[in-house]
Amino acid sequence: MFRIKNLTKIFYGEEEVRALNDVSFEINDGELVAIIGKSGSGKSTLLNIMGLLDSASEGGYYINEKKASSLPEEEKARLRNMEIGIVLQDFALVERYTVSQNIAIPLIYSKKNLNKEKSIRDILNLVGLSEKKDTPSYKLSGGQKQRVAIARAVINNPSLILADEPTGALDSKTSEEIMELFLKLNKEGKTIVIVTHDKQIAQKCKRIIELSDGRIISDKKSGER
Amino acid sequence: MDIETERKLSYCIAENFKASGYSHNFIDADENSYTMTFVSEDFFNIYKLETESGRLFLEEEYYSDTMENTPVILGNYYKDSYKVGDFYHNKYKVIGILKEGQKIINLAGERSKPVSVDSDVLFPVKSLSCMKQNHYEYPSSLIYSDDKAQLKAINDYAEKLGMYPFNFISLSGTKQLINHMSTQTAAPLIIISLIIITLAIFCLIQSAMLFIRRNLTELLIHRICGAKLSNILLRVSAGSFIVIFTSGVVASLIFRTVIAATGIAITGVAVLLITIIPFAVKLKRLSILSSIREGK
Repeated sequence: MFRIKNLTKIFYGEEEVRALNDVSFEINDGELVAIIGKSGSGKSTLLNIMGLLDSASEGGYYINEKKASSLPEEEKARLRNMEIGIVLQDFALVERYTVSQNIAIPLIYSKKNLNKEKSIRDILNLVGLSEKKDTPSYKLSGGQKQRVAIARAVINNPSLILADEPTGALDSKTSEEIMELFLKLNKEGKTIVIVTHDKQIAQKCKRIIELSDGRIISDKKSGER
Repeated sequence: MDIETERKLSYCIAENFKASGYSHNFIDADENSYTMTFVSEDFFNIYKLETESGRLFLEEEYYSDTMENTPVILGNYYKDSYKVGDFYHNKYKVIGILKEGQKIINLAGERSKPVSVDSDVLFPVKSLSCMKQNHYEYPSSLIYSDDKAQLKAINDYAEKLGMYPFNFISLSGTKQLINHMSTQTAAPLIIISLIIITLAIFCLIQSAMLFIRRNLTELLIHRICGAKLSNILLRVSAGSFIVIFTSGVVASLIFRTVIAATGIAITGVAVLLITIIPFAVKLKRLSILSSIREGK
């Protein structure tokens, strides 16, 4: 279970900007949640904090009742490796690596005793890219790159997948395919949080949390009015 | 120059060998090697060597201008091969054979350690002109005298022979010259070494910075996937460690001292840390996702 409690994030620059303002919510295991909002509403900031890529100014972030936000850097890295998978809008692949090399990055830092070749093979089957194992990433299409990013995010079997605008750079057909993949992973028990500005994508999720100016303005199951 | 001055000159020069005997290796026509030890007239006053047969050198035998029939005294090793009156290497007349087991201090060789003369061939020191004529290797000598006229005669004679005299009022002056010459020789080498080291440090820093700039996105992606800061820094510095290790090995081979290799290794590691630490601090504060997006 993942819990955000009174989370506030302030950016100090020429002006003080409250990207998140006293945000609280819980996500249970196995949920598929969409976080929506306009540009500047704080969605990506929230995702950064949930992914332990940034720290909050106030409040806390709990993973299975353990305060992840105040863990030392090494422990955060371990959680990012083992418990959290991150998928980004622009795929964040190392272009010169092959598909399998990109997918294997988390395995470098994993302490699990895995059969790496088998794990990669299984994941590639899951995302439908078995024949692209040794293809350099720069040769892939957008949809294929996003599949590789998803494969990399799940290779260590994390309990939480965070996706930041995963279909933002894709056409509608490819976006559908990617969402199907997320739905498939959710059916297998993965907890998935998708940050998106696309309401159609959000409608496919079971729960929608809407942010505006750093605050939650709505939190309801999909289809509720 | 009259014989008396020449004799004094030779005596003074031979002072250098007084306590040691200057040894030199030769190879004869049959490619046999043998060692000659050049000894002055005071040599036997200091080292009380005794002969088993024959005699020691006579005074006039030290100052002969010719090499013909030069007398030699053989170590005891040769007693079965030569006897008094024979010619050593068909050139040198054997006038004496030393008793077995006698030793001298060879300052030119293993300093301050007694060495046996059993296999030596003792050769009386000749005058400078004769030694030069025969292309003998002649080391520098320190000559001390209170007699300024004598010193002038020595200087004049040395110049006549094409040698280079240096005059000092005192031994401390000699020491100053030697120090000055050492510094003069060492200073350019030190400057060149410092320039090379500075350039090497600069190259090391540049290569690390270039690696970071070119691979920042890749390093940040690794961070997202669970790499710790230490993992990233290891990736950045891996290439440099190889360079530092290789430099240490090369230094130890050239200088043959552990200190040189250790010094280079420590310098390299220090330079690497100077390069890496600011990057590590920046990496810790970096917004990873924003940076990846900016990198794209």
